Amino acid sequence: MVWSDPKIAKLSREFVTVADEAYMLYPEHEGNLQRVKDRPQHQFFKRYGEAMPAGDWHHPGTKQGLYMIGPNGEYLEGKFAASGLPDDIGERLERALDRWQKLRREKKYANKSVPRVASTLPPGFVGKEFVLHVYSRDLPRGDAECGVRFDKKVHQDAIWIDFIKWAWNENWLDAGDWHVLVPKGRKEQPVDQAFIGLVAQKMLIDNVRGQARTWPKSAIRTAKLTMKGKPERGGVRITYRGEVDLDDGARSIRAQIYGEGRYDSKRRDLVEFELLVTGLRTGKHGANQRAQDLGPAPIGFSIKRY
Amino acid sequence: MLTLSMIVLLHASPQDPVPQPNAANLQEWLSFIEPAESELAYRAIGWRNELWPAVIEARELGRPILLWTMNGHPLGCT
Repeated sequence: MVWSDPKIAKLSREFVTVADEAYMLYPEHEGNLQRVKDRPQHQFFKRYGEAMPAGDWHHPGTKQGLYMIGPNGEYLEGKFAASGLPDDIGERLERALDRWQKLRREKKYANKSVPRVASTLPPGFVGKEFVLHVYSRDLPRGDAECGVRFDKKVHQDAIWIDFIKWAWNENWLDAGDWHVLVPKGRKEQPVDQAFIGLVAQKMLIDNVRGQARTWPKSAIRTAKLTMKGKPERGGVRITYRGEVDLDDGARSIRAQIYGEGRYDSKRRDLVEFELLVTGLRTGKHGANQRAQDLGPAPIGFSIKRY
Repeated sequence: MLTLSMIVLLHASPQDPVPQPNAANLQEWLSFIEPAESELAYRAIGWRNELWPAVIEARELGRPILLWTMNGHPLGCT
C-alpha cells in the first residue's frame, strides 16, 4: 500500500484527509445511483470527476481510488485504482499541491493549517459501547507463500496483485451488550446464541484478499460458544471455546474458537476480550479473489474488543 | 481490474495443517494474524470517515482534500 511510503505520508498532511466508501459516493449501478444522486457528497464527487482525465476517472465503473480535490470540487489530481502505485501517487500528490498553490491564490482560499486528527472508525461504530475488531489472514501453507508478513523492501514496488502473499483485512462489529460474555457462576455455560451467530455471520468472512458479503443466516450450520469463569482478585478470568460451520453452497468455513476475557468487578466492565478462530475455508464469494484458490486452505481470525 | 488469469495460482492442499486454538498458542496466533506496525501505516494519516463533513472542514480551512475510496469502507468494512 502507498501509505507506508514516508513521502506520501508527509504530503498527505497538506490535505484534509478522508476515507469513504466509493459505492456510497458514486455507485456504478443505475438503481443505486438514483438513490444517491441528490446527496451533496455525490454531486461534489461527480463534479470533480467530470473534470478529471477520462483514464483516471474510470467512468462508468467503480470509483475506488485516490483523489485530490479543491474545497469546492476543483480537480487537482487523482486516479482510479491507484493504491498499489506509490511512485505514481507521490508524483500526483506533488502535482496536486502545485496546482493547489495556483488555485488558492486565484480563489483566495484561507489556506489555514490542517489540524492533525487521529484516524477513526468507519461510520456507525463511533461511540458504540461494545465494538469488536476482527483481523483475517491466510495461515501458512506447505506449498505456497501465504501468511508472510508485509516487508516494505520486498513488497512496496510489487504490482498490487502481489499483495495476496501478505494480505490481511479488518472489519468491525457493533456487538451489542457485552454482559452476555460474563458467566454466572463457575460452570461452563453457553454464550447467548444471538451473539455467536452475529459474530459468525458478520465477522468470520473470507475477505482476506477482497470483498465478500456477510453470511446469510441460512449458511450457519453450527455456531457455538461456551464460557467458563474463574474468580480472581478484582474480577473473573473467563475462557471461551467454540466452533463454527458455515456453508452457503459457494463457500464454507469450518473453524475452532478459543478465547479469553476478564471481567473487572470494580469497573463493572469486560475489560479484556479476545477470540482466536482458526480453520479451513473453501470456495469463493463476491470479489474475494479466490477463483483460483478454492481450497480447502487454512484461515485465521483475531477478534478483540476495541 | 486485473483479469482472473493474472492472479497467481496458489495450490491449497487438504493436508495444510490448521493450528487448533488453545490457551498455549492464543497469543502466538493472534500476533501472527494481526498486522504489524508496518502494515498499519495508513492509520498514521488522520482519516476522517465521511466525505461531506470533510468537505465542510476543507471549506472552512480553505484547504484541499485527499479522498481515499474503496468498495467497502477503507477504514475496515471491506
